[in-house]
Amino acid sequence: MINLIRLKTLTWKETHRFLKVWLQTVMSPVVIAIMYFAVFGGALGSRIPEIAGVPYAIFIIPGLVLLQSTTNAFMNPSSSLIISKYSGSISDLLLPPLSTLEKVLGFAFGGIIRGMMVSILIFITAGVFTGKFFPDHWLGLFGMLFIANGIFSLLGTLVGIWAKNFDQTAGFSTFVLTPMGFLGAIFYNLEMLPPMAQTISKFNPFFYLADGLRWSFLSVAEVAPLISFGISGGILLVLFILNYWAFATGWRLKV
Amino acid sequence: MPTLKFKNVQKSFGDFQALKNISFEVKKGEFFALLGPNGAGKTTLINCLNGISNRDSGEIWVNGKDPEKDPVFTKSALGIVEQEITADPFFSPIEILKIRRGLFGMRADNAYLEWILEKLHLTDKKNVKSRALSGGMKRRLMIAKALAHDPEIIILDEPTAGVDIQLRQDLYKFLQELREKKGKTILLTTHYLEEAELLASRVAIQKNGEIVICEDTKKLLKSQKRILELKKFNGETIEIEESADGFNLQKIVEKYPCVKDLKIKEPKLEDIFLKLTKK
Repeated sequence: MINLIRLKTLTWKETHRFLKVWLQTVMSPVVIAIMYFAVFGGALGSRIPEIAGVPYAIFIIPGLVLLQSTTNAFMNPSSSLIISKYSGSISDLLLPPLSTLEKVLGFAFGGIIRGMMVSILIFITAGVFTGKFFPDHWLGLFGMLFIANGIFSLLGTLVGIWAKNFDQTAGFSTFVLTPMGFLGAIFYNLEMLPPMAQTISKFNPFFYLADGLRWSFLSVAEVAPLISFGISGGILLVLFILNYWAFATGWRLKV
Repeated sequence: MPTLKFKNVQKSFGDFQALKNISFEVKKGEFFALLGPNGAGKTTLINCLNGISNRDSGEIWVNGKDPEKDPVFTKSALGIVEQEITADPFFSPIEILKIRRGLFGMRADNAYLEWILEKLHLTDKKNVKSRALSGGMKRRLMIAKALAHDPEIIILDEPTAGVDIQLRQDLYKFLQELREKKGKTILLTTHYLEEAELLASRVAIQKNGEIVICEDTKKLLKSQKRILELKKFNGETIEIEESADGFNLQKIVEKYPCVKDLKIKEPKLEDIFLKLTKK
């Protein structure tokens, strides 16, 4: 059951929290992306041959967008929850009559909105650097961005509920998400890897997100778009169910 | 039907039994005080009421509904002022109140929120970041938050700790006003026993997870004997407990002829509390 006022308020709260520190939450990932374009696109890009018929500087755009936006989608709910636990204001979530679905969606939407804002800004920045502003498949692009940011927002919520301190959320980000992102074929094509590494990469969910987004932006893909979208959608659904279970049972939240 | 009902409520944390067969009721429009030393289990009981904790056994009813089975209904009826001071550092008091109201599914009502802020002397701080508020202001903001959705039942867990005397008096008046004019039901836990004596029509005293007494405040005070305190010229003080027939002053004066001063000490909730909670 959803009460729109409650859901809208929780989403507003989770959105305004990051907008109040927009330099750190929205602009910082854009600056990092500019650094990547300057190094990989500008300095090194001209020495790297085209991949799948696409100049390297353009090839890396979807991956870079994904890396930055999903990190932010993850951090939005995870930091909100861990700050609430630390400051004691977690009761602001537990005392109101929010339904389980409202809690799941409110936190997810906060992260998705942040991830989407970062994505759009990086796409625009990338366009300035490379001249490629518009995607080949608009619907696919927004669909995949929604799925990818949704996945990491739901994951951030789970980690925020699970974690007991900032160290644990930061540790998860550093030791799980960053390697998963970098090894998810965002800077290269799977064909460039030895066969064994190619097989391992296919177990990395980030690969399907990057591949689906690359198809949407450049019409270049290593697996059929239906597969990348299907697998990504499946992961989103599993994480949604886990989030629902966590809030419904009060896992790590109730005393 | 009582507004709040606890029946044989039990809660343990590992081997530690925090609540042992807690049973009492709070009637509609009543001002009820739950007293007890630190660690008596008052906050645990409130947590079981508001859904932050699940009880192990027993029954809890809020307007006839179980908080574990019908949390949306029961949470909507409750406005809880928590003991621990918390304030979301990102938002100002007025934003915090609007968020709280929205999270209870209610549309913004600026006039009502301004009224609460005024009553709690926070109007001039309404747009300041909450992290810049003093401890006393944050405490008052906690009360404002609990009232933001205009709840029928107000639960105050140590609401006046850290609040200065003048503001405490104003808060007492405000709480009385909420009960008398708006018909709110109030459950208060406090360490200031004069607060309970002044405000509550009934009190319960909780010790080691058990309710040791639950009684009408006036009746409870009446059941205690008054003390006649005699001060002799040599500075010695003698206390005489009232008998069933009252004080026999003739006999007392005969026994203690050289008395400089005498006064009657009315029974206080504090004396009863100390007697009942003494180890």
